[in-house]
Amino acid sequence: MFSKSCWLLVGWLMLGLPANSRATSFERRLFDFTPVSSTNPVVARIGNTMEIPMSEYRAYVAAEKEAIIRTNASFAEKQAVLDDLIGEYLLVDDAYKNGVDKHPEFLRKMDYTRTILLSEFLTAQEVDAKAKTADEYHRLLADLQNRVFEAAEIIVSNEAYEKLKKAAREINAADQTSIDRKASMARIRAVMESMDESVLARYDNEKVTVKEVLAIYANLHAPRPRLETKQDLIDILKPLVMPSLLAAEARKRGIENHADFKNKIEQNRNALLRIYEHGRLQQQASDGMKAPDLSERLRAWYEQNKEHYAIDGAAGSKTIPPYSEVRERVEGDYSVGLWERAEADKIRSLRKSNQVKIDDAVLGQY
Amino acid sequence: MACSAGHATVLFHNTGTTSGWDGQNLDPNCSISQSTSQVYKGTTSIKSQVVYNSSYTGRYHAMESKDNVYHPGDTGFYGFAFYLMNAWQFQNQQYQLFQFIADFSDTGCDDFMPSTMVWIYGNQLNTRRKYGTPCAQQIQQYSNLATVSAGVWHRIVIQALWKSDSTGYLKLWFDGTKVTENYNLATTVSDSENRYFRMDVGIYANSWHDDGHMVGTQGTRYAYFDQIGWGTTFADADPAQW
Repeated sequence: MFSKSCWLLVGWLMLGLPANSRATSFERRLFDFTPVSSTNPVVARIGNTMEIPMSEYRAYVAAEKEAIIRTNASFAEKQAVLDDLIGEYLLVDDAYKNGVDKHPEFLRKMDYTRTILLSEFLTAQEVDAKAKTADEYHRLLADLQNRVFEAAEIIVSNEAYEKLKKAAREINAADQTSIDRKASMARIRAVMESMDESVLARYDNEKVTVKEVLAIYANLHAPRPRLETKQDLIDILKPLVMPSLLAAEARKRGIENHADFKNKIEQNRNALLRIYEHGRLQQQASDGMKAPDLSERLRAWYEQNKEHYAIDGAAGSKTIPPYSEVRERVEGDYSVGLWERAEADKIRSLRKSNQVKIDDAVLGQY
Repeated sequence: MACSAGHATVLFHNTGTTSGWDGQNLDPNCSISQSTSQVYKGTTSIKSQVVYNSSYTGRYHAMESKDNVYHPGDTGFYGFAFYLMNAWQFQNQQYQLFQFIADFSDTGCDDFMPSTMVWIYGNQLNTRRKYGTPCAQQIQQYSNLATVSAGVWHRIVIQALWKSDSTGYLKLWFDGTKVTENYNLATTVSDSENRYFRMDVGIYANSWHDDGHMVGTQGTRYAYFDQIGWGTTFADADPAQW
């Protein structure tokens, strides 16, 4: 009995910990990763898990609201900006709740981001931090890239390389023999589409297919480099494999465990989820642009907003152009209005289902 | 290029590929490639890279070009996503990310003349309108519109009514937030030829040429560009939507 109670208690504590650690973690931050402290107090709490400290509010203002908010903004203006930021947090939270961060497409995007950021963090450490001049920057960058490339074990399939050479010749021939660009593009597309999934090179649990190389090769402007020699092959493979090789080296050096790297990943995840949510709301707006009675809606919009289209005349007079003259502008403005309304409606609904507490005293101090 | 009013029309979409463009604005020491290393959506993006060379005195464009995008009287939305390399050194020099440009050689006053551009100076996002005439160009800058962070994707959408009289407008959204809107003004130069401007997307390190030197040590700079769109509605151009 005693032991069962003990386990229950431990279980409760374990369940409780993540909630507490989430409350003080950076995992929902969009702009700034300064820890909460007495000098960086929380200005808003959303539910039990999200906190917005002043540093995040300030970073948001700098990122997106600087041109709008006055330096000596009134409390109401600050509150409006904070409301916008809370809205963005709620949208990102909604994406998490809907499991968007678990979608295979999203995970793939985060994989790309992790690889490129690892390679960039290593480059920053090995090149940016050490270079004193532009020339030295170039030399250190080339040294780093050559070092990881030479150290890598890259196995090239002779059969796949032969397929690549043959396809490259066909692509170049299409350019030389076709009369017009369209015909040339069609032939090049046919060469690419007929290529199988042969793996050209393997390295560090990664692979590069002939098709991937061809996609890059075909998009180079003629005259393209030849792919007949080993050096030709290295020249086209090197930039393709470099981010992964640098990322692998960065992992060896433990960069993945650095706090600033982890924060950057969080920032990217949240930024991408925010983009996803904006896209979803815009899809609603796009659907609105396909309404069968769109023409009537556009005209009604014009009637409600026609002062907006007024043209200044002489001696302070204003002329309102007829609908037929501003129809394209009305369409554009109406599409923006649909999106803004979709976003506002969504955020209003999310605020109803999430408790939001704002610390007026903290906001007032800013 | 005519748009049918009342129906959202996508006029151009590029999903981060080097195909489908009308050309490249590419100078020596610069490169554009299709990349699978970082993407905003889909499987590819456009990597634009500029490499500083102190003995080179030319310009540094690494941009893809789409012809015939606007001429005076048009209205439209233009958008793209971009990612600056994470260690991007934010220096007090201009790095263009986007521009409209047309050839005015026949006027005898200019050659390729950019109108509206979008650039970073330090970590600040800026845009401008150009008006007047090709021979008497005037510029108004809209500065410090937003703070750009490196190592994360951003979105830009421009909405413009291109007019050479005072009835045009210019708006810009950064990451979904409208950071500038300007009404009742000229947004392009008057042009008896009513010629089209093309749209360039990528890095143009104009200060390296205009200032005659590069500030800082980061002589190799790259950025990724993806989901470049142009259409008659916001959603046609915003990379978040399509």
